[in-house]
Amino acid sequence: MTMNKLASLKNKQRLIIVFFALSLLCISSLVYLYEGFYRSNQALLDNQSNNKLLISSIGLMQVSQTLNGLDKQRSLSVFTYEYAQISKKYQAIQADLNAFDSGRGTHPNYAKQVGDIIALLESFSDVAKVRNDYNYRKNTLRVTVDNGIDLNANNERLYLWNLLKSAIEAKNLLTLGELYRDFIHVAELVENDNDAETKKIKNISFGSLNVFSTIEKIISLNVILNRHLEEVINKTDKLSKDIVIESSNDFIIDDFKSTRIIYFIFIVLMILFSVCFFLFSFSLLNKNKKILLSLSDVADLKPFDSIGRSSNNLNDKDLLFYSKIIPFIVREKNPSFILLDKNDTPLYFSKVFYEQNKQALLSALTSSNQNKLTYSLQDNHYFLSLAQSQKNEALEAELVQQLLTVEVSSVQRLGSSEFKLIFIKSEMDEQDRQSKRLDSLATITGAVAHDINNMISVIVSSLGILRESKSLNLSEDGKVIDRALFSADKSISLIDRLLTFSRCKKLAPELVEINELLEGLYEVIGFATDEKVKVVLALTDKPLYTYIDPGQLETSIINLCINSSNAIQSNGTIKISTEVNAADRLTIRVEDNGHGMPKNIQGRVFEPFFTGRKKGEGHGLGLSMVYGFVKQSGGSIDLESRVGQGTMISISFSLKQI
Amino acid sequence: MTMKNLFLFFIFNSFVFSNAVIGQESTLKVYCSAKPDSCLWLKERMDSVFKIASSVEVKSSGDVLHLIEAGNKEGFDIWWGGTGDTHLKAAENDLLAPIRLNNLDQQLFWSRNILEISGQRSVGIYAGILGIMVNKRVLTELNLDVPQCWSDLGDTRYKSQIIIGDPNLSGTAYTFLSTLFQIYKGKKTRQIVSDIKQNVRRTTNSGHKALSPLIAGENAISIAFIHDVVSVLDDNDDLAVVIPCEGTGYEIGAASIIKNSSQAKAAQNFIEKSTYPEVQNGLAADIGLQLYSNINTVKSRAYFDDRYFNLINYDFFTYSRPQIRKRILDLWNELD
Repeated sequence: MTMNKLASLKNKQRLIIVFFALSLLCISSLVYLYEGFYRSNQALLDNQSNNKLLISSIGLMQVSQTLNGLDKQRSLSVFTYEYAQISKKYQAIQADLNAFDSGRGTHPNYAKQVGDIIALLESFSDVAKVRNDYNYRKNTLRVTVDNGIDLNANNERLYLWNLLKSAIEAKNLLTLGELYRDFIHVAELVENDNDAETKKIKNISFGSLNVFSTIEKIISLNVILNRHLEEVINKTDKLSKDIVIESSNDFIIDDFKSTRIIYFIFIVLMILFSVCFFLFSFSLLNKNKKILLSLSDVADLKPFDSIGRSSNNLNDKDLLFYSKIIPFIVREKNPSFILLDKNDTPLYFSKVFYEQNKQALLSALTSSNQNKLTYSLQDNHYFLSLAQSQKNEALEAELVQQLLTVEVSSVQRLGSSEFKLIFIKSEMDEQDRQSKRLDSLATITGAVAHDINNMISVIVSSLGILRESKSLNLSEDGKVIDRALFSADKSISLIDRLLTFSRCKKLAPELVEINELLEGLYEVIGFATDEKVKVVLALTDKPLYTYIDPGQLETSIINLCINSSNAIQSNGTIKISTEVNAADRLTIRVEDNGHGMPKNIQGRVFEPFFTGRKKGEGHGLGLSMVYGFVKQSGGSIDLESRVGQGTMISISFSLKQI
Repeated sequence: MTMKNLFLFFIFNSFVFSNAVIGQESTLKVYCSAKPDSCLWLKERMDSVFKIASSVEVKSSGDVLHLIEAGNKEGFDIWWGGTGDTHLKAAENDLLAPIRLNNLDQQLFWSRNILEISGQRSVGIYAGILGIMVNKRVLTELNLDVPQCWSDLGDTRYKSQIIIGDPNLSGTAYTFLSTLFQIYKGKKTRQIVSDIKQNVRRTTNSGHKALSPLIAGENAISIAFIHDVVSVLDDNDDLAVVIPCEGTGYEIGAASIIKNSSQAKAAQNFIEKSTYPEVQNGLAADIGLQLYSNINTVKSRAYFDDRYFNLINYDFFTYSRPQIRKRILDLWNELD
């Protein structure tokens, strides 16, 4: 699977998440809108009833204001009239509230409260009536006094009349008291007068219902009535306020706010959910990247007919079948697989597998009809071969061309059917594993080689001293020492290669022109390789510079050529080529047309002491040394080999632009 | 106090002392919540005119109320003077014995009214009118007009110019607040009281003490009962009384028999005699200067001016209720 594909898949994933988030937003907006409509509808209905409540409340306020005015006027006739009016108003409000209360059971009983106020108002109507009587009396007295003033000429009597007039208008007991005090004092002066005028004054000031006692009663009753009125006003105001508060509570807190809160909680939950979903899907995607990559592509399956024809289009049946194998793929977490029928004939290749082995499979397709594809599943390996029926009747044998050999990681049977799903060990995984193995080997080898190197150095120097010693003049002794020194030297070169592999060798890099180096090496390679082997150089015209240890590079190239030479059994060619790729990396390629290597050993060739040759023919350190050196120099090494076709090893380094 | 009164004081004082020694049994114990001078005068006159021996203890009405609420442990018989609302509260709490005056027809309306609303347990003895006291010199210096109404006191121009008693402790200041409550009802009161409190520089623990800074020219405005300031007004031309345009309130001083009195009859007699002009004339003319309850008592010289009688119909009953009192004081205390 290429990077492009990965990127496109990520884009797809993003698109899905964005789409999901947008849908959530749309849904929540719709819910909110619906809720809004519902609420506004409800609010309208509530408003209607609230309006009724508010109107009642306003009515109560009006009554309260009327009562306040009444309190100031203290006029009896007005009060009597107003009283009836107020009573009527209260009753109307009570009727409204009654209708309202019965509609909504949870509300406090406002109508009853209005009823209480009406009862209170009625309770002091008696007091008001008494005051009414006194006020009539007061009016009569006022007329009398006013008439008296006009008739009068006497100073004392005029004063008395004026006192009486003031007393009639007195608004409080203290004023009335002082007027009375004055009146008594002055009245004493006219006590003995028996004229009609004085009699009249005495009559209305000391009689059974005189001015002073009448006004006293009125003032006292005023206090009581005012007190009651105030109580009624307070109760009315409080009720009016309660109603307003409750109706506003209904409107704002209960309905509107709670909807908003619910909506916000909903949105927050949605956002949280989206974030969680995103994180979860992201981690899941990372975890099972390969699986999802393969699953995301419905065309991830290459059908293969019995004669090896593949078609690009999958039919419905294929897809249905594909869906059945998905659980197995998911479980195995391996996108590289082949579906086999009961005869081990491949029905489908996964696209990953197809892409990896495209060449071999294509060659199977392009082969002639006479050729027959054979398949076998043995010892954890799946073989795909092209059997060519020979015309040579004498032999009557088939020439089998191995197309494909892959290592199988597991075999899954699809339920009770005969179909098998085989999962192929991924090359990339294999390479990872190998590189890890090589790394750990390098670590161990490095440590051991270093120690042995030190010890051998001691041995060599000791032998050198012994060799020079005058006490050893015997030639026999010298020969022994020489043999020991020879072996020690061989050990040193061996260890030297091990150290190179383990990247512990000190390199001396310098600027090297590769083509020049290879040209200079040509002759040496000629010596090192078999005579039958032809060495070809295919170098670029442009000089290629890099920063590298030239001695080690030469050794590496010679090693590679020796290996190639060994792989060529009869006549063959070793081609050494150089090239520069787009990423500004120079590649030195050593290829041969030798016997090649089976896939299963390809990964191990860089291991120290791994060799395909017979025991004693080589140490198996050549490629290890090359591997170590290339890695230490910051390069990369690739091996491509096909059994029967040959091997190609490429080493790449970064190019220095001069 | 005139020379004549002083002379009488000495004469009767010696007489009372000897009398007290002889007949201690009949001595009435009196809490007096009026001015100390008035209390002394009362004791003298009761003894000299009516031969009623008494021991008088001067205590503020609040203190007396607490004492009788605590059970009148010192066995006092009479509570004479002090603001009507404390008497009414005691009457409501059933701490007072009934009174039946024989000269009720001679008592002025407000005196009888107190008797009526207290359930025949307290009788009104004297009354006084509330006014705004101003120091005209200070106002002129500050280029300020003389306030004419209660509502003027809330004007920001009078910032920090008001010193009054603490309404929690002073009867004068409480009467002032309850007057405002009776004039301005509902929400308006709160606003006006709040505005006025903004202008209050400080409060004193009695209404009388609030007058000293005003007389000294420290501030421009205070609240007082007119009879309390008459003598000062005579001596100081800078000071003046304003009767607010909205009308003003007044206080009534009452007298009651404490419930568990051992000499209820004598106590009733004492109170009845204290409503006689023989006792009240001196108080009204020279000592207390309040308006006294008996119709035949002379008019106080403090209240000869008719303009003082722009009064509201003060509701003593309602504004002596504990919960109303609490509501008014809470409002005052909560305001900044």
